[in-house]
Amino acid sequence: MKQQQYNTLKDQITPKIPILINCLKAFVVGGLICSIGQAISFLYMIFFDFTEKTVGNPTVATMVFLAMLLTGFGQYRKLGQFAGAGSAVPVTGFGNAVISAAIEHRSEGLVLGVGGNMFKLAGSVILFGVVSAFFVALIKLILVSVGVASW
Amino acid sequence: MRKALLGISLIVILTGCGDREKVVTYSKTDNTQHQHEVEKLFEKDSEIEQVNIVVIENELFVAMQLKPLKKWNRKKIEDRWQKKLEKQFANTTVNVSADFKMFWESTKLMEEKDQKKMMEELQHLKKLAKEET
Repeated sequence: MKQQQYNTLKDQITPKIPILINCLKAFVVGGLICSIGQAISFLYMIFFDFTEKTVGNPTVATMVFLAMLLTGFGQYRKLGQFAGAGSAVPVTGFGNAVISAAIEHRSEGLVLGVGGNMFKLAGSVILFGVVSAFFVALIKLILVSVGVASW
Repeated sequence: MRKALLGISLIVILTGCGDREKVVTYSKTDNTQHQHEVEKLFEKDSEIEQVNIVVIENELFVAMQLKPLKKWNRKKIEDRWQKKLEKQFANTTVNVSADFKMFWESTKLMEEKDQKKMMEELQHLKKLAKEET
């Protein structure tokens, strides 16, 4: 079988990916997760002494914690299968990445298994997050120095 | 599922009905001219959705909610109003905030009867507005 023949056969057999439906699912579920986050931040502002400026930290921590619990109970996997990027892109995806790696390697021991592999996936999120935050801050510093934006 | 969706959409629609005036003022001062001038200034501004103005003695506390797209320039708008009000009311301590927390608390503050408690709350809010962490 030649390569071209193989490719046409492969195209015929492979089921079509419903890109539009997948995007829609991701949009709806991602939006829902963000709405829950917004509700949590309102909760913190109404019942505790957090302002709009400071409420981001506890909200992110709560969302990550909830995602970690759901991952531990095996529910986040179902959500991930349904929503795809909609459940991976929000900050809850980070909690999922940490806990799922920890669960996966728990049979290798607490230190070398869980401890060594916990940030296997999330490590790159932290690294690139920090690097991109540095560059964004740099760009903002330049814009503020020029006078286009304000802190 | 369908019933839950219907319920949620009904709640969303009904929350849109809870309309209130754009400018709400609480005043505990003899100088009412102050109050009317400030109210007029805020009524004209198209960037602001709702505003609470609390005037106690020589304290002027303004908590506003900006229109969604104007929130990008929150700091600029706050600073502009702060300068504008400070210039207009030289002998008054002016505090302007576009933070939701300040707006929420000032709405609650307006219902407070005890003036001493109100003053304490106001000082707490001013401190909170400066909080960074």
